Amino acid sequence: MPAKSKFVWIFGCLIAFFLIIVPFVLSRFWVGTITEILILTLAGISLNFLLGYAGCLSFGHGAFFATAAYTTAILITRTGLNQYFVILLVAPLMAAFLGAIIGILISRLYAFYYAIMTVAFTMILWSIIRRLRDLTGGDSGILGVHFAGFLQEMNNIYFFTLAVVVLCAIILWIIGNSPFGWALRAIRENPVRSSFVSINVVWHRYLALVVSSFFCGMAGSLHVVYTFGAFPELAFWTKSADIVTICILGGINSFLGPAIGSAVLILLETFITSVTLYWPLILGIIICAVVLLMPQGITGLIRNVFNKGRGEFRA
Amino acid sequence: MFFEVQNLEKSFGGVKATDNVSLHINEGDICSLIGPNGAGKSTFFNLITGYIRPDSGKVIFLGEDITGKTAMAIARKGIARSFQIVNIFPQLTAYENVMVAVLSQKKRSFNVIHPAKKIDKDEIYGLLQSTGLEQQAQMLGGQLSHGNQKRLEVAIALALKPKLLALDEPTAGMAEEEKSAILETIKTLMKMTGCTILLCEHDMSVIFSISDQIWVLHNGRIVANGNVEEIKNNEVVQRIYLGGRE
Amino acid sequence: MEISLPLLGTLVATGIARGMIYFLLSCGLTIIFGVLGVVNFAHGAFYMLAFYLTFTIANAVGFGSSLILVPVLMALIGAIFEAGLFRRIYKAGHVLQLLLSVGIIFIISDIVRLVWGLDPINGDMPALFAGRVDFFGIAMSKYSLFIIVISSLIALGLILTIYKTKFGSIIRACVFDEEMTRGLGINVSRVFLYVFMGGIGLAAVAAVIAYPTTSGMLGMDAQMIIIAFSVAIIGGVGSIGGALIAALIIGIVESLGILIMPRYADSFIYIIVVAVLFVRPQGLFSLE
Repeated sequence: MPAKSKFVWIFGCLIAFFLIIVPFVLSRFWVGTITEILILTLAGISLNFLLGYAGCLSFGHGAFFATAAYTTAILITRTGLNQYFVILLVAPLMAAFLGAIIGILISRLYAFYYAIMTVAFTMILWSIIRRLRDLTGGDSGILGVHFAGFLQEMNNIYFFTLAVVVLCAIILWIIGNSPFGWALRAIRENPVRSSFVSINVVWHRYLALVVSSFFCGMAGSLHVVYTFGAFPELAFWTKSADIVTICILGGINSFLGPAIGSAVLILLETFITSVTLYWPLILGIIICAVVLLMPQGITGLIRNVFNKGRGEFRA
Repeated sequence: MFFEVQNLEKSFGGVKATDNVSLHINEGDICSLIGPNGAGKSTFFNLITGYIRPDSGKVIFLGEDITGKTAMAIARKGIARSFQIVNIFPQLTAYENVMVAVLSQKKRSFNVIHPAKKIDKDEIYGLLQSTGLEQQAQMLGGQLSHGNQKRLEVAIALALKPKLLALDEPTAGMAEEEKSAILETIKTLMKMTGCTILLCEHDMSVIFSISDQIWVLHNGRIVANGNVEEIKNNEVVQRIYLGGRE
Repeated sequence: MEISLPLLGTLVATGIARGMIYFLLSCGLTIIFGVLGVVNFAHGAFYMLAFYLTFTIANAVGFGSSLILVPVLMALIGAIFEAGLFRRIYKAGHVLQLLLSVGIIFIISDIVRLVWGLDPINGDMPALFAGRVDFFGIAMSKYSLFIIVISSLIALGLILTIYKTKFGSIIRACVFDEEMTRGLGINVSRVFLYVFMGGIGLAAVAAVIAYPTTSGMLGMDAQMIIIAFSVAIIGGVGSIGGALIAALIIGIVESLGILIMPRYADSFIYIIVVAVLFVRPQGLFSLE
C-alpha cells in the first residue's frame, strides 16, 4: 500500500499546515467554526473509542460532554478556582466519574439495550440540569464563563483547543493500539470467544466507557472555553445524536473518521443554516442517506475507491 | 487426579442433555469423548468450560472445584477450548486472533501504553507456524478456508498455554486428508507443549488413531470407557454405531 | 397537605387513564422490536405527528372521526417509512438502525414545525365527555373513564389478535425464528410491513386519545419516547404483559407525584427506572 501511505502522509501534512496557519489567513468567524469542528472531533473520537473499538453504541455521550461543561462553568463562576489546567483535569474527571457510575449499570448490556440505557441517562441528566436552577441556571444555562489568563482571545483559544485535541487524540490512539485496545476489538468481534480466551469482557467494556467519557468530558470543557457558557441542550439527546452521526458519517472503522464527519457536518450546518431555517430536515435526510447509501462512512468510501483502483491494476 | 467430573447433570426443559456423567482424565493423555450426533458432547464441553452452569455435580481440575465458574475464570485456570462451529474473531487477521489470546493469557490486556503489535511477535508467529498458518497470518479470520479456521481455533486455544486443551470436534466439516493433517498437528502440539487433550468427535476413525482413553456418550450418559481396543470390542458401542438405534 | 381518600382515588383513576395511553404507545414500540428486531427510536416522533394530525382533523371533521382517520392515516405513513427506509436495514446492525430512526426524528419533527409552526396546540375536550362521573364514590372525569374503557378494548383486541388468529400465530413465529418462518413459505416482508403499520397505528391511537387531555408542542416526541423506553425497561423488553403493568405504574406515579412533589413529578419515573436497573436489569417482568 505505498500509494495509499504516501497519499495519507501528504494529506496529513497539508491538514496540519492548514490548521496551523488558520488564524493568520481566515476570518474570526472561520477560526471559530474550525474550533467548533475540533471540539466535536474530540467528542467523536472519544465515542468512536467505545463504538468502533469495543462495539458499544453509546447514544448518551452528550451526558459526559454536558457534565464536564457544567463542572467547568460552575467551578469558574462559583469558586475562585480559575486555573485552566486544574479545571481541564477536574471537569473530565467528573465526566469519567459519571461514566463509572453509569458503567456499573450498563456494562453487561449489548446493542439496543446499551444504547437505550445511555440515552435514558443523558435525558435524566438533562431534566436534572433544567431543574437545579440555583446551580445550573436552569433553561438559560450559565453564561459569561471566562477563563483567566490567556484564554480570552479567539486565536489563543483556537491554538489551545488544537493542542488539547491533538494531545487527546494521540493518547486515545496509543490506548487504541495497546493490548487493551485490541482486547476491546476482540470483544466487539466476538464477546463469547473473548471470555474463552480469558478476557474479562465486562471489565474491559466498563473501562472503555470510563476512558471514553473522560475524553468526551475534555471536549465538553473545551466547549466552555470556546462558547463562554454551558447550556442544557448539551445533555439533550440531539447532542448525543450529533456525536454518533459524525462517527458514522466519517466511518467508524477509521480512527480519524470522526474528524472528517465533524468537519463535513459543521460545514454543512454552517452553509445550510445561512440559506434556510430547516437545517434539521436536511440533517435528517443526510443521516438517512448515509445509513442507506454509504454505511461505511466517508473513509469507507475512500478506502473502496483505493481498493478498486488496486484491483484494476492487478486485473 | 488431574481432571475429574462427578455426577454432572444438566437438563433443558425436562430433557436431560447430560445425565449423571462422571469421568476422569489422566495428565498427559489424549482422552476422547465420542458419541453420535446429539449425544450431548457439546453440552458436556459447555458445562466444563463455564459456558453454561450444571444443575448439579462437580467439576474438579487440579484438585480445585471449578463447577459453575465463569468461562473467563476457567480459561485462567488452564482449560482452553475450541468450538465445534467455528468461533473466531472474523474481522481480525489470523495474527491478531492469536495475538489477543496471547496478550490476555499474559495478563497484558489492561496495558494501555505499549503498541500491541510489537509485543510477543515470536511467540505468536510460533503458534501460527505450529498450526500451519504462517502463510495466512495477515488474512482476515473470516476469509480463511474452513480448514484453516479450525486450525486458527486450535492456535487461539493453544495461545492460552492450557494444561488441558478441550477440542470440540476439531475435524468437523473437513475432508479426509485434511482431517489426518490436523490430527498430526494435534499430536505434535501435544508433544511440544505437554498439555493434556480432551477431544470430542462423532467420527470414530479419527479417534482411534490417537486416543489413550475413550469415553462413550450416548443420550447424555456415559455408556462405556476404556482404551481403543476395549472400545472397539465393546458391544454397546457397536450397537450404538452399527445397529443404529438402541 | 392533607390527602383525602377520594382525592387519592381520583388521582389514581387519572393515573390509570394516563398509563393506558402509555401502554398503547409502548405496545407499538415493543411489537415492532419483537417482530422486526428494530428499536424504532422515532416512535415518539410518529406519536407527535399523529397528535398534530388529530388537531387538524378534529377541527375539520370532529374528534369522533379522527379516532378512526388518524390511526389509519398514520399506518399508511408508517407503511411508507417501512417500505422506503426501514426495510433496507434489517440486516445492517443496530448502530445503523438507530441512526436511521434518528434521521427520521429530525425529518418528522421539522415537518411538524414547517406545517404547524412553533406554537403549542391545545386539544378541546369533546362536549360528550366533559364533566365527571361518580364511580363507586370516586369522582373521575368522564374522559378518563372513556380512555380506560377504549384502551382496554384495544389491548384486549390486540392480545386476541396475537394469540387467537392466524396472523397472530405468524407474528409469533416471526418472533421465534424469522428464517424458519420464511422457510414455511410465508411472505415475511409483508408481515413486517403490517406489523410496522400496526405499531405506528397504536402510537397514533395513543396520540388521538391523549389529544383532549393535554397540549402538543415540539419536543413532545422526546418526552414520549423516554416514557416508552421507561415502560420497556421496567416491564422487560418484548413483554406485553410487563408493558401493561409498567405503563400503569408510570401513569399512577406521575399522577400522584404531582400531588406530592409537583416540581419533581416526572423525575420519579427516572428514579423507578434506575432502581429497576439496579435490582433487575432485564426488567421486572422479563421471562429471563
